[in-house]
Amino acid sequence: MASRALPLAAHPDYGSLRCRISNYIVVGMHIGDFEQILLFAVLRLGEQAHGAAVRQEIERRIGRVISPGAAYTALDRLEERGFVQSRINETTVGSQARRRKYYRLSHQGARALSRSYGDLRDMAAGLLPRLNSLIEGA
Amino acid sequence: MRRPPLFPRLLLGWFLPLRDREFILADLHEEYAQRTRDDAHRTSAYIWYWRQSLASLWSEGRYKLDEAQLGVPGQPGGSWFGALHQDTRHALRALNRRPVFSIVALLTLALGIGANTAIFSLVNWLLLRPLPGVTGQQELAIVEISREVGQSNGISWPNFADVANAQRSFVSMAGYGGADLQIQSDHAPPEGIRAQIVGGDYFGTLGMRMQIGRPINAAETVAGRPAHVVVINDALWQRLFQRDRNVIGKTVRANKIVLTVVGVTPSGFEGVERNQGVEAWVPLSIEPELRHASPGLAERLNGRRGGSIREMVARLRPGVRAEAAVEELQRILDQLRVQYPNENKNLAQRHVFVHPGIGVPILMRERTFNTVRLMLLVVSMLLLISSANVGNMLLVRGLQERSVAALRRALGASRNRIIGQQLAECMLLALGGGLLGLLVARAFLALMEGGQLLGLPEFRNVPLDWRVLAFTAAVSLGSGLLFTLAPARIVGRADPLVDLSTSSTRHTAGRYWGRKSITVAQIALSLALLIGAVMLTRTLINLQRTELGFDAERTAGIIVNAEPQGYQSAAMPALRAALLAALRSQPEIESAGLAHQIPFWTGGFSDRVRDPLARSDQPVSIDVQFASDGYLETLRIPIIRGRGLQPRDWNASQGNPVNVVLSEQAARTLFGDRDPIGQYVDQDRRTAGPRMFVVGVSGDSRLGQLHEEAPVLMYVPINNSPSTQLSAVMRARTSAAELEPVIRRALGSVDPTLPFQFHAIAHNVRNSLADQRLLARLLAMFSGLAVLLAAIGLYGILSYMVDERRREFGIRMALGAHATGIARLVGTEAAGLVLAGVLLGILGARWLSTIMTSAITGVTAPSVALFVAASMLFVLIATMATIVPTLLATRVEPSITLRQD
Repeated sequence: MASRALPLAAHPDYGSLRCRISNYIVVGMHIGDFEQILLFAVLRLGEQAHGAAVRQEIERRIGRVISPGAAYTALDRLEERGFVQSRINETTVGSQARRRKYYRLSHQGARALSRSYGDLRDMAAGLLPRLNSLIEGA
Repeated sequence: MRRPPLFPRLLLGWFLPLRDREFILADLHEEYAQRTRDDAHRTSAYIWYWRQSLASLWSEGRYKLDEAQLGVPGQPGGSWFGALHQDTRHALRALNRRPVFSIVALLTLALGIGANTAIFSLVNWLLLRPLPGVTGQQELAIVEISREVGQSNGISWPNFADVANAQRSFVSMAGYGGADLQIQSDHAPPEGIRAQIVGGDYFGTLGMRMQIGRPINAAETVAGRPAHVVVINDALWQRLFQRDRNVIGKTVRANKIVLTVVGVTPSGFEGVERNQGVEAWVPLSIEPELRHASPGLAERLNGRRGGSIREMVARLRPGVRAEAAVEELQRILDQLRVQYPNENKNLAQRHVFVHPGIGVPILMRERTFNTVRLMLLVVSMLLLISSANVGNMLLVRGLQERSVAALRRALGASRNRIIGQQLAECMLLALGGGLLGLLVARAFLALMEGGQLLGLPEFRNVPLDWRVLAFTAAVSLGSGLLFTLAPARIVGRADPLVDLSTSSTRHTAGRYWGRKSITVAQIALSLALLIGAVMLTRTLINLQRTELGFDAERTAGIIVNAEPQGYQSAAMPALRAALLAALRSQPEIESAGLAHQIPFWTGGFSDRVRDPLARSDQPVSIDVQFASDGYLETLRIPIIRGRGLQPRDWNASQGNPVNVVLSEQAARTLFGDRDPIGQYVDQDRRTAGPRMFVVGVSGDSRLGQLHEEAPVLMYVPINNSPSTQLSAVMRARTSAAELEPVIRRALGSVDPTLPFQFHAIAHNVRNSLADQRLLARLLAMFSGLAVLLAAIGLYGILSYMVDERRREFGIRMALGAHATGIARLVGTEAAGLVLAGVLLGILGARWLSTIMTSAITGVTAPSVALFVAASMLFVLIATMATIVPTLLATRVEPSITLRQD
């Protein structure tokens, strides 16, 4: 087992090992609003959902500016929880080749998103007029 | 394609987890490239990149924190936030383990950082603080319409109004010019203050809200429609009204005109130039009244010709460059010249200058910039040296700890973690050094207290404000990164296979080229500083030894400006005679005389005369000192031939020649070896003035600049002066400082409404060298430290080398090498370092000296002898630093050393 002497980070199984650990510890189906937004963006972009595109989509639709670091960390976390799957593709930008990370909503992710959004929708049912009147009254 | 800024890229590369690093960097890069396609957005793209990088790091850190709270174990090689805590603790332990190392490193850093902080806080205090009450200061510019930069010839009010209406480059512009006011409230005697005459919306252009009341409106400044209002500043409000909140609507008398106070400026405001002592602002429309102008002068002040608005302050429209504004204003001026050909003839020689930024007078800007650059350069050299020293020390530690690092790598620590720990240790040192540096800065500032620079007020209680703290933090972290690089590389490269199988004694000569180059750089920098310090000190000593040509002890000068109280030129002779008589009647005054120019205080006149020997057609330029009898005697300027000025010379009757006295230099320039007594000198003018008849020759004396030749000077009887300024010199029987009340008494008997300014001449002479003295003191202090640090550095590397090569020396000695041979070995090593350092240092000193000559008046280029002497001194110091390591090398005991392996 010569490879055991390698630092953990350099271990070929490092990525999946980490995923497994996290999966056992962070359980449950709850996702926050930021994650919902990310997941909807991934869903909307379909095959084109790479990191930069997700960020641009969110900025275009709701005007929220997200740093690449925030986007990737959150997507990583969602991946660790099994809600998205990623793959890495080679593309060219201008004349230069670069790699992009593409995300896809997993079955589990679709269920979680549907449930979270459903919960929110159910809680909000019929409340919008009252909410609006509060805003206008202020 | 433009590359994104380096530093955030490094940070990202350093701290982001491997997993996403590539994608985040590539995304950022791509978007940055899109944003910089348009040149106009370069700055905003730059800021964008920084913001995104920091936000990315931040969210990464937050994620780690969440993970820790959720109980996910920190992953090795993962992110930085969880590791930071651990690294910091590790670093604290490591520093604690070697207290001597830590203290020396901290002190060394504190010196470097402290010097930088001190100088920066001076610069901050003098130049960087925003002007009180001014908003959007960076968009403001000074506009000048002049023959040359800084002459401020100005334009008339109607021209200014036309320009201001026609231009589109500025959001708004307003004119201003200096004025002397003699101001008094109900019960106080008049006091002379500096004021500004403003035209247009001056306070609006500055974006200023009054502390109380309102500003002067543009409508009130229109020439020909006088509005008797005044805005005063905080200090004057205190002096005249004791900060009475009901001051608005009260009246003051300024130059005998009643003005209503309409506003008080925010605390500390002194006009658009810092530290210039302007205390009141009056509208342009009342300038003729304030100057008690004759109808002719009033016409000139209000008409389309002549100059009245001398400088303008303007707010540039966003996106408009200064060059574009210059072009536009020049075009408008050309149109005005065509439109009013007769009135605006003089505009032909005027040029437009737009100087972005306010706060520093135009003429002082270059010198200010040079001086500040010199000071910052010197202290950053010192910081480099101290960082290099600490880097050197850490490098040694790094080499020693390679095996430890290698062991930890073998146990599974990632390279990043090992570098991270090294970095944390250095950052702790840097922060500690920064905190100590603040104390050191306080000490440096205390040493400089009372110093003066660039003619600005004395340094008193220079604050360490947030700008200084931010600067110190940046410098500390910067120096931290600087001295971390090399040791971190070494430790980071530790390889279990190599470093665990060999003992440290295998590191021989080739290994420490890094340390050698650091030492060479240190020697070079400190030698350059040393030469600079010697140069400046020598200059200062030379200037202090310069013959003044007069005796400044116990002498004082006064200046009285008679114009504001309504005196016209015709009334001056009587006033002069009365003042001189009054001064002479005081028992405390030994002797007194009138003169237009007080030495080392005010400026004077100069004139051009024809060559009396007709050797050439070129006129001779000559300085003119209008003086009365008693002036030369009071200052003890000797009469060398003929006689001095006498009371009967005061008023030459019409058509008769004017009796004058020449200085030796003037006599030599005009008459060569001939006797000038009884000769005539003629002004070089088309209209014939009176001829001048030389009655005497006096010794040379300096009026202002110590570093220039004695002036070519002609003493002309005082009543020929066109000025309404009244000034006198006098010698006290006891001391000059006691004369002020005496003069008040004497002047009160002539006209009690006349305020005066008073200076002891010896004090002014000393002050004329304030810049040189302060900079010499700084350089001496800093170069001393630099030399000390360099010597320590040299000592360090040599003793380290001796220690490393102990085994080699042992073998050599066992094989029969003599102690002198070993000493020669060490000596050669040292000599090589010192020689390289000295050569580089001489190059550096040459460069430093060019900057010094441009920053400080009177500094001359260094001589070869100085270079040689400083180098020799350095070699001497280096030799002393070498002695101990060499002795250590010769004491190597082969039997003991070889047995150790």
